[in-house]
Amino acid sequence: MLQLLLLFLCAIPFPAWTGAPTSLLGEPNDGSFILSIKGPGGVHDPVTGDGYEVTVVLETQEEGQEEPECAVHSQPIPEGTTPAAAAAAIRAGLQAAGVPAANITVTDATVIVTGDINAGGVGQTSSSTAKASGVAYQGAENLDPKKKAFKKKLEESGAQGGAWVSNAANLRLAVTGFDSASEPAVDSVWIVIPAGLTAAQVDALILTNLNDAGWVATNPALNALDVFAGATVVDLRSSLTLLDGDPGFLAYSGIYPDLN
Amino acid sequence: MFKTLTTAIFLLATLAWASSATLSSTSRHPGTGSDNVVAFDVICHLEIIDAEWSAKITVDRPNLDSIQLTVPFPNGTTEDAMATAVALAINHAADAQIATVEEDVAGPDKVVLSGDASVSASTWLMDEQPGPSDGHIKVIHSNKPTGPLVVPNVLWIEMTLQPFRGADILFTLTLQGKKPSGAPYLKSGSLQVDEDDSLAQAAQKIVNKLNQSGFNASVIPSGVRVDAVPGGPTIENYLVSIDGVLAEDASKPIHYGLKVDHGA
Repeated sequence: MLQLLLLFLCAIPFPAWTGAPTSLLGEPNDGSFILSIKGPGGVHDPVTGDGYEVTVVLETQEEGQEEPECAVHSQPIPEGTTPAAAAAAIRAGLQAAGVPAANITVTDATVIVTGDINAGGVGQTSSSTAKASGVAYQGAENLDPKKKAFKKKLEESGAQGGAWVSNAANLRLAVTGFDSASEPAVDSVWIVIPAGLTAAQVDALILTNLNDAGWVATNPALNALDVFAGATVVDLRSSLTLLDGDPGFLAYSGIYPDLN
Repeated sequence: MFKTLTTAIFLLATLAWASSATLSSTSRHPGTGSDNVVAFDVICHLEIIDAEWSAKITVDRPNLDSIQLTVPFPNGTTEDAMATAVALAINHAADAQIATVEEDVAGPDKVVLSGDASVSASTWLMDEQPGPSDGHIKVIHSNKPTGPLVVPNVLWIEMTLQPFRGADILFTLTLQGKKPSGAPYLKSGSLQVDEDDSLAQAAQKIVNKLNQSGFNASVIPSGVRVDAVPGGPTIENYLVSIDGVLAEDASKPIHYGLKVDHGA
């Protein structure tokens, strides 16, 4: 069900659910995505704890391509799966979802996807002792300036109509990059998502927390969040979203062209 | 106690690495003249434990724009996966295959830059998060990948510290070569630098310690230079590492890094 709904959301034209101008189309990006699976006893531990499901969303846009493509894969991780085996299964699933095999590299329990990544997200269905952790990031400094955007993909299509309400969970948003002195810097905010909030209330809660922490962020449309700077990070290179629990949406981070 | 034990393990591991290196003077690596090998060694583990890290990677290329990357290392990323991720990111940004990964069954895989490209790296821990944070990453620079010897005669090494904060750092230098008599030469020195030290203070402390240990060291801006002693041992291989010393409370952001150059 989750996969079907995410596929439905991915099928919606990109500007329709971000509020971004159409000038975004045709703008390739140069990001990558890295996901690691961690078990309680390490990468070679045969026990990953309780079974759970990892969902990965990747949005790509090659040069000359008018609209971005969205690949979604939900991978059940049965109890006892090693992290390395889970990573291999996610690789196969991403290939089946349309990501070229040449763009996916797996080392130990880490999945690295290269090739014009706009955005990526990862979530898991339960707070197992095993964790999936992923991040989308941009490459070289000499590329054109970009802005970073976080997006939340709602599980329930009813969210647009106000019927959706959140489950309780913790959401972590982080950006890495460089501060005003060009030194490595990171800003991170943990946000407690209470149960029963509407999509608009979740948006407001996240935006308030970011603003209170000194971030420069906007909420251009329902379920969308643009971050221009953290409290110290002024030159963004990577963004990370982590969920502890299942709030009912998949946090989704990435890199978007500066449209200003 | 744990800090002392960890430090001892680092030194033993470093000496073991150096003493196990194979000496040869018949092969030449294309990266001669620059620091072109970097590896990431998670302290006491094979993977990051309960923390998110990032690495700032800078690749300098003669007559080309330098490349600066931030490569995230999510929780659970292994040392070998870090090397893979960094090499892929460099090649993707350079739009060329200038970085390769050399497998090392006895230690972390190494990222080797081709040609005259050189790489410097710093790592840092993302800030406060629930639960304990662990898995400090040692950044290792060397002129020698796992293959045959790179440079038969290193004349000088310059090590530039990158601003560090959040933890004391442990700096270790190991030189390996031959004495004039032909006998093997191996010397290693290590120093813990206080978090509150300025770069200049840290560099001076390192120089003092290295000179006490028999090196020919001097201060350069934000760093340390070590010269071979005329008529002294021939330096064939160096290994420089830097890492944050494990703190009782590791739940604060830390970062540290190093750039290394050498001449032959």
